[in-house]
Amino acid sequence: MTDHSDSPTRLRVTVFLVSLVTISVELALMRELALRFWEHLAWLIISIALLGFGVSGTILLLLQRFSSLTPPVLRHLSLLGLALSIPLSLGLGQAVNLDLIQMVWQPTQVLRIGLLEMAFTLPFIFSGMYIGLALQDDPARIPGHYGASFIGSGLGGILVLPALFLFPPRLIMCGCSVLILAASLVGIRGAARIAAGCGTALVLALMFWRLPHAPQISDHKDFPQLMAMPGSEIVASHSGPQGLVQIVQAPAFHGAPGLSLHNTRSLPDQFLVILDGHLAGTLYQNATAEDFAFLENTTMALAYQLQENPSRVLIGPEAGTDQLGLVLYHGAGKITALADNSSLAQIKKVDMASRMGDPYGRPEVSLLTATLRGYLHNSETLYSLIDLPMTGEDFGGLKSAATNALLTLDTLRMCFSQLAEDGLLSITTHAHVPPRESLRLVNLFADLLVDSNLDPGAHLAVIRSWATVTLVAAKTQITFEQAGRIRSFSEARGFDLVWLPDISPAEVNRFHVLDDPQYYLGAMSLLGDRKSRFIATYIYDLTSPRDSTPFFHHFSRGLSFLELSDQLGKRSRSYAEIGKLLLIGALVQASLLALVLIVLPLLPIVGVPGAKSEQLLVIGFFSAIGCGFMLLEMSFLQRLEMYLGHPLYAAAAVLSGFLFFGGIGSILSARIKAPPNRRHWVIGLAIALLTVFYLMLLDIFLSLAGGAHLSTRMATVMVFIGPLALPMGMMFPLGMKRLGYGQSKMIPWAWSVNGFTSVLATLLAPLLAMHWGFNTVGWTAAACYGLAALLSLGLPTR
Amino acid sequence: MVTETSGNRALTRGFMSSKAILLVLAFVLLFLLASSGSAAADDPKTDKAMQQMLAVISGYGMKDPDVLKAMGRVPRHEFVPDENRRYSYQDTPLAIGYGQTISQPFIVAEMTRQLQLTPTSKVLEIGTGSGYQAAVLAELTSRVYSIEIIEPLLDRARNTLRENGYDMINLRHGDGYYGWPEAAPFDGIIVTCAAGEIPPPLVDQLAPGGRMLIPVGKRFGTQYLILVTKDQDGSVSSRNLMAVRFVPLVRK
Repeated sequence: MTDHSDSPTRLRVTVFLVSLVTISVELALMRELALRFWEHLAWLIISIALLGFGVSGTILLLLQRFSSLTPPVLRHLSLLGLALSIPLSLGLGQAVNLDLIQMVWQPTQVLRIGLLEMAFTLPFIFSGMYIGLALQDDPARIPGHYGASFIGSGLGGILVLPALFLFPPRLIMCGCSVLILAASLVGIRGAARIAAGCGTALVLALMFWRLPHAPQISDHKDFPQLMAMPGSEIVASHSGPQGLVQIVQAPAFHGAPGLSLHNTRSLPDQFLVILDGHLAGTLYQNATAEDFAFLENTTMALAYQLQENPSRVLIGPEAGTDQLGLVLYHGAGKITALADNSSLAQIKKVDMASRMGDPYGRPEVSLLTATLRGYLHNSETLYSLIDLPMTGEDFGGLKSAATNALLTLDTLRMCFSQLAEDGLLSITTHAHVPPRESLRLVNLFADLLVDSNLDPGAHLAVIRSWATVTLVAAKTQITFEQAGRIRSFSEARGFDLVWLPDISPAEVNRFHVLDDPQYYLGAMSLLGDRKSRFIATYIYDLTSPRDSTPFFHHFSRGLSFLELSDQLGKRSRSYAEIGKLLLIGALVQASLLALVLIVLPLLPIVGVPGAKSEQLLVIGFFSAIGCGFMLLEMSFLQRLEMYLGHPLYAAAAVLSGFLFFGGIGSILSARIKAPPNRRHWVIGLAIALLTVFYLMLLDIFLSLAGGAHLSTRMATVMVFIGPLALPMGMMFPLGMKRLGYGQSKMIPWAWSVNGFTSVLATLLAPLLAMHWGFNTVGWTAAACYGLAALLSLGLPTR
Repeated sequence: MVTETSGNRALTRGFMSSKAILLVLAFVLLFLLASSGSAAADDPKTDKAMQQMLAVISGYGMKDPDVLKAMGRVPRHEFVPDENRRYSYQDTPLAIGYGQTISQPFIVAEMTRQLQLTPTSKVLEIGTGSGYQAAVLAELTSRVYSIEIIEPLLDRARNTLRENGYDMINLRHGDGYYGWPEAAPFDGIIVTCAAGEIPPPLVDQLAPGGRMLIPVGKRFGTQYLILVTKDQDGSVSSRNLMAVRFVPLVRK
């Protein structure tokens, strides 16, 4: 359909802007949800965006069948709708009182995920409508429009990251809304359009005025609780793509992780590090090295019983300064502290330096902004001690679906290889009953030591307080003398021994008494001959996470909730993994919404044309490529999160990469001269084989730039995605083109089943990865493309 | 005859006196029952709800008669803000404003039981909140001390406690982390706000043979109820009693 009212250039520029705004809104919404709920909801926003695009297809079909509005008018209305829907969706989303923590107790909460999906899908419906209408322009211009769309998407993903350093997510979204409104107003003619534009501007102004500047942080997060304490105030704040960092001075808060009940030393005044509303660590006011003496009464000090004054210490990216304080107290020669959040590094090094007594300005301390893996990749230094950041805080199972790059066997191997001959690797976790994180760490350390041809029982020391468990793996065998020091240290502080090379059952479970010596029994099994049997029968899955299954906080087995119910009775609901439940709830509801809004409307509108075999072939082909595309995109997103260091960086790089190169693939598909039947089959097969190739070489490829700057790593990811995304982008337009040869009535069905399966696969991919790993997701995607290649043989050829 | 009459009279007197005793006993029992559900006396529905709440607590295995009786005497609905009053006798924590909650009744019962109070025990509560837990403690001992850091909450609790006849409770505004050193040592310390840590000053203020109950852990994660005991020789140990986390918090 030719459009004479908009110049090609104007249309193209608007397509570019709409695409740029769409991806910016998508990424800003991820930040919005992270601040309000949890950071690892990227997959939810991606499925919402896909749902919106799918629904836009159905709406366009309905409008074209039942309305007399011309494409230019529809495009104009779509732009106005997009401008309005951005703040509207924020307002509606705010009104959905979703309480993730209550999901286990109040199953109706799950339905609110569906409401949230419906609220946030609005902008994507309108942007999908605009782009869909633009692609109905003169066929000669379509490649150019495609190009504009993909450049816009790619650029949007890159630009939004620096923008997030300067502006909060809501302001970016409102800016996007204004940009789209301005685009709709440029060069408009006719009183009705001008009136509509002015009316929209007025409504937008009202919406901005009514909309709170920031989302309401969940009551369950620490921030609202801490601010309710008398005298609490925010003393520093930094916002960026990695989150909102706030430093709170809360005089009524006192604490050190698992501090001994025998501690008599006073604690320095504290500042609390709040990351996206969660208490992530503690900074100390004007603390000298001596002021950190109280930390000697935590289990974190275990490593210093093996080495009193380690010469070179590497501290993993801790949010607070507890680990640094302990090293300073022990007077290490050289300390490297890492920060994987640049905003937090800026706060520690600059904003709070004078209030903290500038511990990071001391000559022996270097604070570097880097991920642990990135740093280790570049470093050749050997360390006496590598102290990993504390883990195991219980977020009600919300973290179960999140990847953790630090706690995989592969990362620990990197750490272990950079220890000096007598080096130590240490980590502290929160204690839980039944033991969970701590025993998984024992297993992880045991696997690490076995890999290094060391006897795990002779190289591991584990102690616990009433709240924490600390593990130290030593490169050299723990001596009798060292074990003696650990015993004296623990006895004096009321810490329980969990494991020492010469431990006896009489020594355990004495100070913080549990019904059974579960920690000791677990450690003994994991370090001995009964390991496999213990892992197979334990209430939680304790398997060591690897890079292909980096879900350290995912402990539930397939049907383990039933086992939990047997063992824990009514309390079992307290142990449910909300992250997984959320994923399942979102999957079910998004699938239902997609079915109702995308697929079912076609039945009365277009019916089901053609013979049964043709129907099955078309539906099978477009389902396979929809599923394959999103399985691959999502598994890349989660897998590369570990490489790039943050979910938002991964989302920006992966979404932009797939959209950009997929778009180029779409354009190139029109220029391929081979017969459609053959080219389609070959491309499908090539994608399947390329996927297998990537699965085998991914780790090697990524390791080439593992220690590079973030921008280089992001560029590497985009380049890496290119060769795969390019042919992936060809499959859909080729399929549509072939339907046009003889089964054009099936085109709406092709569009809708592709949208439906895309939504489904987006949410299915993380679930599959949690249980069977990224490689399984990759293999499934390869199988989907293989199937699509086969089915393409049956599509019309001319 | 006389004897017989006397005997009859004696019998009659005996019958009359035993009847009187029975009547008195019945009256006393009725009075006790009525007073054991003082809130219930005003409203049969409230009484029924309270009995159901106590039955739920017993169903969890908390069958200490003294604690149940004490809880049966305290009208929980008086300590709950109007907007949540209809949930007063459900076994759930309730929001009381300022980001704080009134604890789940089962937890109140279990923590009170674990303190093993006698009528002469001196007990310190950290986090007065609504005042409900302090009232339950006051049913078991007359020496109750309670600290609240949020002043408006303390003022409200003070009024509620006074209106319900709990004038003997010692209340103070302050940071519970430091305890109440002037009144120490305590036979029992109960921390009713979710604490990340076990405050060392509280351990200090525990009397030899004393018991401290403290829930630790993230408010929305799994919390553990920890019992800290101090032996006669001053040595301190602790024990994980149970996971107490999370039951739904009812808000307005």
